[in-house]
Amino acid sequence: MRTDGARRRPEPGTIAVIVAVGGFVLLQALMWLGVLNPYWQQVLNLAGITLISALGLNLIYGYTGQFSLGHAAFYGVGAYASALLTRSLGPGAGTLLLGIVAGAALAALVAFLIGLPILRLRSDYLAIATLGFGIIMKVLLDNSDAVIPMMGGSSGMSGIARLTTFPWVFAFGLAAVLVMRNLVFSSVGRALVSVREDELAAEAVGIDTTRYKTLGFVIGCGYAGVAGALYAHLYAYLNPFSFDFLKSIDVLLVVVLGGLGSISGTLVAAIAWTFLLEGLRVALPASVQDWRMVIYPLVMIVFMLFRPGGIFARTEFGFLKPRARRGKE
Amino acid sequence: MSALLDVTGLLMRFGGLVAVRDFALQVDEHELVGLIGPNGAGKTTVFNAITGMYRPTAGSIRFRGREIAGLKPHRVYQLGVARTFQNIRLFRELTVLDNVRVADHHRGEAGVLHSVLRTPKFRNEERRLADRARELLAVMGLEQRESEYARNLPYGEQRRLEIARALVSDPKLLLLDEPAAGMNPYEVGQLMELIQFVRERFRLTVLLIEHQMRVVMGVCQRVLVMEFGEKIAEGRPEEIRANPKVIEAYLGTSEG
Amino acid sequence: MTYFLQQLINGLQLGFVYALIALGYTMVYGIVRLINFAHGDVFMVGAYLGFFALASWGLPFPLAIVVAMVGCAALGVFIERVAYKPLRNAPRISALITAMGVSLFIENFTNLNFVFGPTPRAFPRPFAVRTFGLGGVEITNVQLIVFGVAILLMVGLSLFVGRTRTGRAMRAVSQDRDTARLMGINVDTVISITFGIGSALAGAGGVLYGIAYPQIQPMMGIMPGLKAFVAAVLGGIGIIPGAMLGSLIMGVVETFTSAYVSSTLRDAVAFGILILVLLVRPTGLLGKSHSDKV
Repeated sequence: MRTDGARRRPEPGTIAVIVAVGGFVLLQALMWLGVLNPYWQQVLNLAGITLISALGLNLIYGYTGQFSLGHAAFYGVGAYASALLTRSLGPGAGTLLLGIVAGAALAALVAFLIGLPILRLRSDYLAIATLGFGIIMKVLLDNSDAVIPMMGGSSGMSGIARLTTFPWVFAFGLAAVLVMRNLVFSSVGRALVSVREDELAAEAVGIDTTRYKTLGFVIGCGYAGVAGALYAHLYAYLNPFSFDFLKSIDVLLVVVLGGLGSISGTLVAAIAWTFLLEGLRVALPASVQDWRMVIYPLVMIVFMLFRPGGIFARTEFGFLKPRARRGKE
Repeated sequence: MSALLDVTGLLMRFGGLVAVRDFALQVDEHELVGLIGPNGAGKTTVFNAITGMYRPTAGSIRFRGREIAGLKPHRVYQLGVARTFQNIRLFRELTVLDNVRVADHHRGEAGVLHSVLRTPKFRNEERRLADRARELLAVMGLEQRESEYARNLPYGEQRRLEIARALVSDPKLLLLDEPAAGMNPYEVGQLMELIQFVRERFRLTVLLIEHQMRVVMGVCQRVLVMEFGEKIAEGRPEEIRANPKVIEAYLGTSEG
Repeated sequence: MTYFLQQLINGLQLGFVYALIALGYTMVYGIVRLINFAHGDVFMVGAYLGFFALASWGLPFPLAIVVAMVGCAALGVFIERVAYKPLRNAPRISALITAMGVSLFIENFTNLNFVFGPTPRAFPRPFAVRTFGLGGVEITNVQLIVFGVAILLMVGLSLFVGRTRTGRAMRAVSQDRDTARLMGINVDTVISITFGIGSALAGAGGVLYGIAYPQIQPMMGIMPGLKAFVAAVLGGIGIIPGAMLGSLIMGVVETFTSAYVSSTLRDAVAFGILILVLLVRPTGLLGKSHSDKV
C-alpha cells in the first residue's frame, strides 16, 4: 500500500465546511444585530436559491454538455409540488422538508420522462426542444386551475406558508455545493464530462451516453426542484409568469458568467449577480430602473464575445477540489 | 477452433449508396491483421460496423462466438473490443489521466450515491482506477503528462494517449484506424515497435487500418485489401505485394 | 362548413405573416447554423418602422413597407457583423446564447420610454377595411393585401435564390462554406446579404402584422418569432419552401386550436408540434435525412 502525501492533510472539504459554518454564524449574527435588514435577508435567500438552481443547470450544460433552455419549468414543478404539499398537510418544518423532497423528486421524475426521448437531440435542437417544453409547461400552469383549483392558474397560487428562512437556504445551498463537488470529482463525474467532450468517443470507451445524459439531466433538474420548493415558501405566492422562458435565461446567465463546468464560478456568479441586480434596484433612481434590463443582456453578449469561459473558466477554488494540489502545476 | 472475430456477409447501405458489400473477415486470437485499400473503399465503415457505431444493413458479426451486430458501441467495448479513431478523438478538456481512467469507468461499481457520500468503496475504486490508468500511461511513456489537458499534448503523444485509453480496460481485440497518419518516419518506426510491444504485453489481437505500406508490410501477419466496398484480396504481406489485382487497384494508383 | 372555411382564411393570414419571419430564420440557419433568436425582434422593429412611416411621416402604404424592409435589412446586417461574426468559429451554443442576449437587448432597449416605450400603440390603417362575401365566408381587403404582399415577396425570394449569381452563391455557402470560399465566393458578403434579405422579409412581415392585428409593442416579436422558428423546423430547417409550408400549417393549426379547442392552449399545441417533429422527423416535412459521419 502506497501512502499519498496528500492524504495526511485535512480534507479540503472539511476546510470548506468549517469556513461555511463560520460564514453562517457571522451572517446570522449580522441579522440578529439588525445590520442585515429584512430586505437584504430576502436578497441573500434569493441568491442561495439561485445558486442551487444554477448548480443544477451547470451540471446539465457545463458538465454534461446538454444545453437546456427549459430549466425554469423544473424549478416551477418543484415550487408548485411543494406548495401543494405544505398547503395540504399544514405548515411546519417537517412538511417543508417533505415538500422540498417531493419537489425535487417530482422535478427529477418529469425530467426523466421528458429527458428519455428529448436527450437524443443534439446541440441547438435540444435547446429548442427544451424551450418548447418550458413554454408548454407554462401554458399548463396557466390552465392548472381547471384541474386543481388550489393552483390558481394564471392568477397565481397564494396562501403558501412563509417557511423558508436563512438557515434552510444555507443548509440546502451548502449541501448542493458539496454533493455537486463529490459528484463531479468522481468516476461518474468524469463519465458525464466525457459525454460533453465527445459523445461518440465516450460511447467508444464504454460510457452508456444515453444513461449519463439522462443522469446529469435528472440530477440537475432535481436541483431546480429543490430551489423551486425553497422559492415557493420564501415568497408565499407563485405565478406561472415566474417560471417562463426568461427565468430559464436568467439561470443560464449565472452559469455562463460564472463559467461552464465550474462550481466556484456558479457560487460567485449566483451571489454577485443577485446582489448586483437587487443592489441596482435600490441604488438607481426609479427613472432609470428600466436600464437594468438593458444592461443585463449586454453583459451576456460581452461575456460571450470576450470571455466565453466565464469568470472561472473551468477552474475551482482550492477548497472545492477533492484533493490537495500536487507539488507541480 | 473458432475465430475471435468472425464477420460474414456484411452489408452496409446508406440510402442508395452501398458502402460495404458481402464482406467477410476472420481474425484469430493473437493475430495482427491489416486492412488496406484506397480512400473510400469502406475500411472505416467496417470498423464502425464492428464497434457498433453503425448498424449493419445485413450480415453477422461474431465476437468470441457472440453476435454483436447492432449492439450499442459501449456494449461492444464492454465485451472487449476497443478502438482508436482516424482523426484522434480525445476528451480534450480532460487531463491525460482522466482520459484513461474514464475508459475504465464501466468496470466500476460505485455509483452516484457512493460518490456523493465518499464511501470506502468509492475511495478504493478511485484508487484502483488511478493505479490502473497510471500503469497504462507508464507503458506509453506518458506518466510525466498525467495532469496536462489532453488538448495540450503534441500530436504523437495524443496518438499514444488514445491507444492507452483503448487498452485500459483489458480489451481482447484492438482496432487501430490509421494510427500512423500524420507521423514522420521516425515516429512511424516507434509506432510499429509500440504496436508489436502492446500486442505481446497485453495478449492482444489487433486489426489495423493503414495507408502506409511500410507499417502494414512491417507488422501484419495477414492483410485484407478492400476496393469499392468489397474484399478483393487476402493473404500474407508478400502475397499481397505480388497480387496483380491489388497492384492494379491500389498500389498502382497510389504511393508504394 | 363556412365557419371552418372562415377559420382557414384567418389561419392562412397568420401563416403568411409567420412565413415572412420563418424565411429569415431558415435562410440564416441554412447558411451559418445559428438560431437567430433576435429575428423576432427585427420583425417587431419592422412593425414600428411601418408605424412611424404611416403615422408620423405620412408615407403611403407601399412605401411604408419599403422603409421597414430597408431599415430591418440594415439592422440585421449590423447585428450579424457586431454580435455573430466574431463567434463564427466558436461553439454553436455560444452564438446561440449571444443571439438570446441580442434579442433581450432589443426588446428591453426599445421598451425604454425614449425609444418605443412600453405602451402598446394602435397601428394606423392606411385604408378603410372592406369585407367581401364569398358564399357566406368573409374575406377582408386587409387579408387580401397580406396574402398578396407575402406571396409576391416569396416569389421574388425564390427567383432571387434560384436564378441570380448571388442566390447561387448563397446556396453554395450553405452547402459547404470552405469549398465556396475556395471557389472565390466572398463568404462574408454572402452571409451579410442573407441576414439582410431575411431581416427585410421580417420587416415586411412586421408591417403586415400591424395592419392585420393593429396593436404593436416592443415584446410583440417574441412569440411570433418562436413560432416562426417552429414553422421553419416543421418544414425542414434551411429549406425555403419548407419554411413557407410549415408556416401555413402552423398558422392554420394555431387558429383551429383557438377556434375549436381553447385559445389558452394554442401555444402548447404549437410547441407540442415542435417536440413531436423533432422526435419523429427532425429533418422536417421537406428535409432529407442524413447520418453523422464518423
